[in-house]
Amino acid sequence: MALKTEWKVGLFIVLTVLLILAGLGYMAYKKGFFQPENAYNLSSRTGDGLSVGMPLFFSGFKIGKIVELELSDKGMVMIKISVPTQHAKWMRSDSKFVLEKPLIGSPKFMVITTNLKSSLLSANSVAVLTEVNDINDAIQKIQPILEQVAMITDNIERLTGSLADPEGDMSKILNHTQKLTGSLSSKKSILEMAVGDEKSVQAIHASLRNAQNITDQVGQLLKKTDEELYGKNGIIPLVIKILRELVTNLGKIGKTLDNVEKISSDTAESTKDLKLFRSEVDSTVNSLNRLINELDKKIPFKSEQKIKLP
Amino acid sequence: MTTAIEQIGRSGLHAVRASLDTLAFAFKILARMFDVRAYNSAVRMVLINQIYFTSVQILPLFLAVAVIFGAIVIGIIGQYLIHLGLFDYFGQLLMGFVVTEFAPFITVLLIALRSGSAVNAEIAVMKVNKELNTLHVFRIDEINYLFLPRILSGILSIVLLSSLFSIIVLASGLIFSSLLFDMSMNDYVTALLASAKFSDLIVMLIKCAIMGFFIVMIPIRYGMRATDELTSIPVSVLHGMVNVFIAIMIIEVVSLIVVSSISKFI
Repeated sequence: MALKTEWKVGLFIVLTVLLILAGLGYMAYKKGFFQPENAYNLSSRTGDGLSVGMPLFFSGFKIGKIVELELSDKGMVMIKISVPTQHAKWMRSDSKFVLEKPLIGSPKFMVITTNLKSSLLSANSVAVLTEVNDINDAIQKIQPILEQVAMITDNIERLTGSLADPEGDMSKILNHTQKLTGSLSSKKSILEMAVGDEKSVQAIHASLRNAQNITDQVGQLLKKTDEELYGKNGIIPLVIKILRELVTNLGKIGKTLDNVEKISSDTAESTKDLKLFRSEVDSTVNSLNRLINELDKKIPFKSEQKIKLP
Repeated sequence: MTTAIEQIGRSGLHAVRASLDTLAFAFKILARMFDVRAYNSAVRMVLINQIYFTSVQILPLFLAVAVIFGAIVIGIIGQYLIHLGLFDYFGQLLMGFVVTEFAPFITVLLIALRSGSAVNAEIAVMKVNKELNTLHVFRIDEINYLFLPRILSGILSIVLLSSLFSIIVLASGLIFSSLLFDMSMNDYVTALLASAKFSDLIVMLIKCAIMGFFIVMIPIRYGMRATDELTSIPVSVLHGMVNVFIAIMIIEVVSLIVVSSISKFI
């Protein structure tokens, strides 16, 4: 029993530990813990935003990390990065190392390689790290806007100062407006305010009344004209009637013309036959003439030449 | 009013004294744990038996619980993440919640309920039956012979069973995520590996060891407090188990603080 218990416990411990180790080993293998690594050196003006263990990204993929940071004698920050051998192909002599400091979020350390045909980055060379600072960029972009805002506030200040100044332009405008509204309130109408004289206003009223009479008369005239033109016995209906009759007659003429055309075509056909007949008669007469001539030659004794036509 | 304040002060002092006694006892056990002379053949035999009772006997139930809980938790987490459009965080949640929090917690609960209460009752019964006095008479060190194997068994069991629970949950997660969410094995493994951190796993193992230590040490401490009366046995078990749960909560909170502090530095 004791042996059985020991065996079971031993098996449990061994199997479980093996499972755990296998899991951890697989994880370590997949994470590249057993892969040989290449070390590269970089230099930077500042170590701000950099830290040991910071990942190095290429096209959004983690390909390495910072393993060491130290200050050189010249005051430059020396950065040692470690990249697994399988990712060493992305590290080229013309690769650019960038530390991107976004406006929001933590800095991102990345390598940008555009030419994969250039030579591999040497472990002895020291590449320069470029810093891209979104905050500074944003400040630079905002600076002109801030200057414009400052100008606008200056203008607003001047405007408000002008408003507050009793001798200022705005005060003058307000005074004029006040006078205008005062004048408007003392007149009977806007027209009187515009022309400035009451008699002139009366004259304009009289003219307007005359104009109204004239338009009334013109209206009556137009009504009468309309009756004569478009009335029951007006000109336009009569013209329409005549035109309709004309159209009917034209239809009939059309038919007649069709018949005439047919007759003329028939006649043309007959003419062709007559021409043939004529040519035949002509040839017959010619033949007869030739015969008569022949007879005249052969019968000289005949005093009276008679030819009997067919 | 004065009596009430005195009562509060007395309770406070009693709580502090009890905590200090428990800590002193814990240090005493820890010191003995690293003493090689403590591990004689009798202790080794008790240790093997304790591991057998705590880990091997519970194994079928434990494996079934791991598969069932794993399937349920992964199903719920996956569904919620899909519902919220955050399925990219599936691996992170599995590693951050299931492996480092859920697996140790369920394991500790199971072991505390099964073995912690048993150890508490066992020590209390031995105290009532004066078996501890008998050990003293025969000059057998109770710490070496009784307490150390049980506490070591608790530590080892929690660490191994938690790890086993995590492995089983992740393995069942592979099957269930394939069935429920049509997730390929490669995607699943990639998501897990992307979220897995050795530091988290080490913290999880240390947390398991500390929990294993306390969920056995506290019941032993409270079992030792039993008087000569039989009725003191359930009282000691009750107090022991309540304090075990308080200890689990404290360790959970402390471990969360430690993990968050580590993740800030790394």
